[in-house]
Amino acid sequence: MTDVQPGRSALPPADYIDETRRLYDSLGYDSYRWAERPEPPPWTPLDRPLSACRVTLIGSGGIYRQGQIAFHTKDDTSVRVIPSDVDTAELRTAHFAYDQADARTDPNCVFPLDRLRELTDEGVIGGVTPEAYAFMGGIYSTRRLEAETVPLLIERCRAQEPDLVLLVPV
Amino acid sequence: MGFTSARTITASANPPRSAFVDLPLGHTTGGPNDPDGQRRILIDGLTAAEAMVEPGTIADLGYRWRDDDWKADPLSWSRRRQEAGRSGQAAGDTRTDRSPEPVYQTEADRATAARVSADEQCLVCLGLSAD
Repeated sequence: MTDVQPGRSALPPADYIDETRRLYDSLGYDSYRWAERPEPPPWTPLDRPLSACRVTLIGSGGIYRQGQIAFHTKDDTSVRVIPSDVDTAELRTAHFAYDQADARTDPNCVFPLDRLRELTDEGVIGGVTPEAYAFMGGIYSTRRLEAETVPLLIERCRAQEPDLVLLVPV
Repeated sequence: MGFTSARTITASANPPRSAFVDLPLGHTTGGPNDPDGQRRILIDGLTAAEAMVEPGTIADLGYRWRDDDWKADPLSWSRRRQEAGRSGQAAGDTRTDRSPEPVYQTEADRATAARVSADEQCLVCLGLSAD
């Protein structure tokens, strides 16, 4: 039996806003503040079918490639460029806020490059751009995330000319 | 488009297109060594996103963990699993022990990174504070 099954849980989704707020309160930290964006988000219509879309993968699970500098845990806003044809056996994780055991066993749990390459071969998507990107999402400063990480990602990602960006947070 | 396992946070941040998977953190695109399951999650999420017309849509993909035990205390599930010997890694976010030193998965990785840096090979890291 695999860990993940089709079907729906009888229980409601975990409420990580409430859970995190209670955790921080119990630890004596300032109250947890999450991003609130009530205005309608920007919308770019998809101008071609999925089967023609070149996809760029961006994951926040702390993935790095063997030979790269690992992430640190103190608001590390840096980005790792991962070649999309990398042998995923070379991928590692450095993160503090989730159980990495399964991602270290199989990086596709949080950085599904093998699967995207297979979907390309099957014609489900049009392709994968040469570069994918990874960062360590445990950044407490939204200001630094928006000022440092996001511009790096946008600039580098745009040069890949993707039709669709696939975000995989953890 | 984005996948998410944190539905309330995603609803609050309000990105244009999302696919929700009701799985413990660390499994946003599926379980380990389960290529068929990972494949189905990706296809379902991408297909749902392709059909979305309303900004801020979150599609609920129909996937669940093998049992619901983790939902009793999702943030400490990792820690409890670690204590049970299933995992030797991260203990969840306790907002402690944060440090600007890289945390390598293995000591061999640290040595490899040092050697690569010394050889000035380009394995691109962007935005390091030393840049």
